[in-house]
Amino acid sequence: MPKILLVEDNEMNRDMLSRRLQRKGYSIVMAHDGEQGLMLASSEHPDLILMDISLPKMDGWEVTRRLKSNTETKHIPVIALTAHALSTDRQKAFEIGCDDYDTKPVEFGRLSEKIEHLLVEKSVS
Amino acid sequence: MQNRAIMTVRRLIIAMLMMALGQAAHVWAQDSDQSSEYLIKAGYIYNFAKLVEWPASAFAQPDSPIVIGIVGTDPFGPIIDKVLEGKKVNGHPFLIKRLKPTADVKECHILFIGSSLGPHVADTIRLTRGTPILTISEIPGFADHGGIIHLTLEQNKVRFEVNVDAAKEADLNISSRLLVLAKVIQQPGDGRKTE
Amino acid sequence: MKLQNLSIKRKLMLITMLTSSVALLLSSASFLIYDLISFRHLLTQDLDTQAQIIGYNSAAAMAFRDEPVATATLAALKAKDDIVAAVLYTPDGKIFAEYAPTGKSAPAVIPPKLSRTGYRFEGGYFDVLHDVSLNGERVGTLLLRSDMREWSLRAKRYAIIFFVFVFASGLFALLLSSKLQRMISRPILQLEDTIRMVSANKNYEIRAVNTYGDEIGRLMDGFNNMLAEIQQRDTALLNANDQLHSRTEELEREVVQRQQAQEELLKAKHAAEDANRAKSAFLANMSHELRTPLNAIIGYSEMLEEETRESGNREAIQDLQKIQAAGKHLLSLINDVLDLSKIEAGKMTLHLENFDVPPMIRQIVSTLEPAAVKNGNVIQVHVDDNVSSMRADVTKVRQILFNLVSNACKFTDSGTVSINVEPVTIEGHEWLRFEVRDTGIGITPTQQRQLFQEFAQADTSISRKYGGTGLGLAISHRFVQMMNGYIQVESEPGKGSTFTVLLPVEVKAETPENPPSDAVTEVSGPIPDAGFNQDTILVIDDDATVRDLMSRFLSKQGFRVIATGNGDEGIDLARRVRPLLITLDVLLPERDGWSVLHEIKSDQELSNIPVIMLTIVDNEATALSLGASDYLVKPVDRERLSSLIDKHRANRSSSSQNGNSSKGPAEKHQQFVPSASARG
Repeated sequence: MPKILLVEDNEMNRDMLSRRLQRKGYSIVMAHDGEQGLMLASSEHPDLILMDISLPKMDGWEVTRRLKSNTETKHIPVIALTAHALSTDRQKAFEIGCDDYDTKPVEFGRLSEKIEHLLVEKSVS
Repeated sequence: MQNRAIMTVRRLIIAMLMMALGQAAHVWAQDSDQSSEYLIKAGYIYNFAKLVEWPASAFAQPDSPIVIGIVGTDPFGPIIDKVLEGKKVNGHPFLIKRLKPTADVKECHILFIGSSLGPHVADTIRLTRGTPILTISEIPGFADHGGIIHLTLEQNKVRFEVNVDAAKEADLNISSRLLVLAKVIQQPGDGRKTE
Repeated sequence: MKLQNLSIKRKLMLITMLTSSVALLLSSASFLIYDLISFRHLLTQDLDTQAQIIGYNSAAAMAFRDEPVATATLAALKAKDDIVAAVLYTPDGKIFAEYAPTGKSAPAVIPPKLSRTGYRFEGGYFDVLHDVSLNGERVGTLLLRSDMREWSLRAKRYAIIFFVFVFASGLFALLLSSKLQRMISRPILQLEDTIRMVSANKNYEIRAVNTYGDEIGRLMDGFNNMLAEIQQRDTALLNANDQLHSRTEELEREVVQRQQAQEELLKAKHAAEDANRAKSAFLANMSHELRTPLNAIIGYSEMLEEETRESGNREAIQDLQKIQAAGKHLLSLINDVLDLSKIEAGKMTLHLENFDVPPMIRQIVSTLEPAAVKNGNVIQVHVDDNVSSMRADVTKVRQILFNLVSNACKFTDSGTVSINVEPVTIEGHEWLRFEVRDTGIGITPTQQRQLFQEFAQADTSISRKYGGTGLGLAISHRFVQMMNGYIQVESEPGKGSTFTVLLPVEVKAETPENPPSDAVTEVSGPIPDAGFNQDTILVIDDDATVRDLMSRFLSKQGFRVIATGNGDEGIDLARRVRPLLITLDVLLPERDGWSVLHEIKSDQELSNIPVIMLTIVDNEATALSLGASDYLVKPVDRERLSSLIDKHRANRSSSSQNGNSSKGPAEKHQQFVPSASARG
């Protein structure tokens, strides 16, 4: 069962997303801020990380950057979840090293597809 | 050398000339000593002619000559001719005639009575009465006798006396200028001398 | 002492003295000299006569060489004081007789210089030589020497008199001139005093007292005039100075005011900036704040639905679906409202990027398939082969198309929604035309009019029936505007609608406003060719302000405005653009409004375009008789203008509608909404 690390500060979003993903068959680990996210990424070795960008203290970009520069964690695919769909955000996401992004509010179906896609890729590589 | 010679020659010539002149002067002086008196007297006569006025009837024409008659001894000789040659007084030239005592003196304007006629002076003078003749003589006492001009020699100087009455009688006008120079003699009436 | 610097008095006196002295000197000198000369002449003659007499008197003596007499004759000279010597010479030059009262000896020999008769002035003595001749014959020479004492005496006397006279006259002249020079100098000195007083006291009221009628008098008059003028100028200057002071004070006050105003403006600016930031922050926050709980609602309800599906509780599923629907509806409302707020706040910006068009279309279509299917509609897509990529704000383009397609699906029942994308070239520019056609319920003309206006959802019943916020088209319209494109609708109620969006292949950021110029036609953006332009209004007015105001007003009403200040150009534009309506100012340069009106009405192509005459002069009868549709007096009553325009629009549409049912869509009544307003 693939493990997904969900880094999201909003409790309701966390709740919704985690439950839906669990029902989809993923095991979920949750972090409510960037620091925790980094810690858990190293300790839990998830197969995929869903990164909310609008985090308190350290924002999602920074977290992703650190994850991607850390040899332990850089191989883990990251999907950035951003409230904006601007080209600049998209560009930033890819510059930082996100493997994909999606907009909030999440359209669950779409997100699931992206997750599956990345996990398949990962397993193949 | 040459200059000195020229100088000497010059001096010589000058000396010679001087000598010659001296001689000439001497001679001339000698000559003039003697003849100068009559030269002067001739000159006087000439001057008298100038200072005497004859009446108009005395001359026929304006250029009729002034006849100077000389009677008696002619002391002048050629001198008077020379002196009066070519001269004129008031346009009248001079004509000098030497006359014999008996000649007619009436045509003369001036009559010079020579000393030889001394003793006959009065007569001669009488001859001239009535005629405007200027009688001149050297004869002493001439004026007293009625002669008009008496030439004298005083202190080696020729002087003359003028008898104004006689002149007046002769109808001759004698210039005062002449009278100033002369010793004027007036003969009042009978021949008394007044000076 | 320089002559120039002497006082006038001195100068005048000097002049007078000098001139009079010189005159005096010259005249008296010449007189005296003349006198002396003639006196000498007299003496000379006298002496000569003497000599003659003596000569005559001594002639005889000389002739007879009578020295005493000669001397005596000479001695007569005793009577004459001035004779200092007399000598009688013989013809050969020797002394014959002498008279020498003073003892001085006479010259021994006749000087060879002298001829026999002559005069000689020598050694202060005057010698006369005279021939002495007797009866024409030279007998000698007489020399009389006179000391000319009489003459010397006379000369001396004269000299004294002269000097005394000159001196006395000089004094007198001095006196007189000193008195008389005042005539000239006094006025001058007075003038000088006056001038000194004036300049010392700077008192220009003083005037020189003028009692003289001559040049000096005139000078004084001139001076007085000058003073008067200076006084005036002075006064004027003082006034000007005062004015200047007060102006300066005013200006200073104004400056202070301005500064204050500036400070306040600065404060206001800061406040506005703060407000602006607050607005942005608000929008950003609100965006987030509003969406977050809504996401929760939608999210949970979705989740619950999934969970409930497993349990099979149909009712619960329906309920949850209702919640979802409501939530989604709310979310879209919120999104639209937020978008519009952003647009209103001017915070909506274009993010231009190059993107591929076909995939975007596909994406939209795939997203809306379910919605289409729900209504039994079929989506047909045709993207031209030449359509590849464009440069635009992809999000906005997507939103626009999404809006149109979703509307099409919403308002169509068991029909077809076709999407057509193709490139077009208009007047040298490359555009992409997006056409969304449906066979739905169509839109009535009334509705069409209000279509792109926010908050004017056709009518509330429709929104209840068909859903939607009513804001979508307004937002789409704005987005199209921002990208300098065009959006138009064609519709026949009951038959269907076609929405057409024209976007430049290369969208550029909104063009900056061009400053208006009188004769130039003012239109923003390129003019697409005839056929699109029913809702254009052509404004012909030579007043730039009027054009500006009309443009703003009319474009706010939703019209596209073309304005020109030139009648001929206006006619030309009318032909090309075929506006809905023309407003025509009567007073135009070069060509008078009436003749323009006449030409428009005479032209077959243009004659049916209504012309509203605008003018400052009331001339309604003439206007109407010449064919003007309406007549307004400036300043224009906006409401009246609007209602007039509406009236014409209605007429137009009804007339074209009535005759056009058989014609194709191209001929159908079109509402072309200007997407680029003339003045924002």
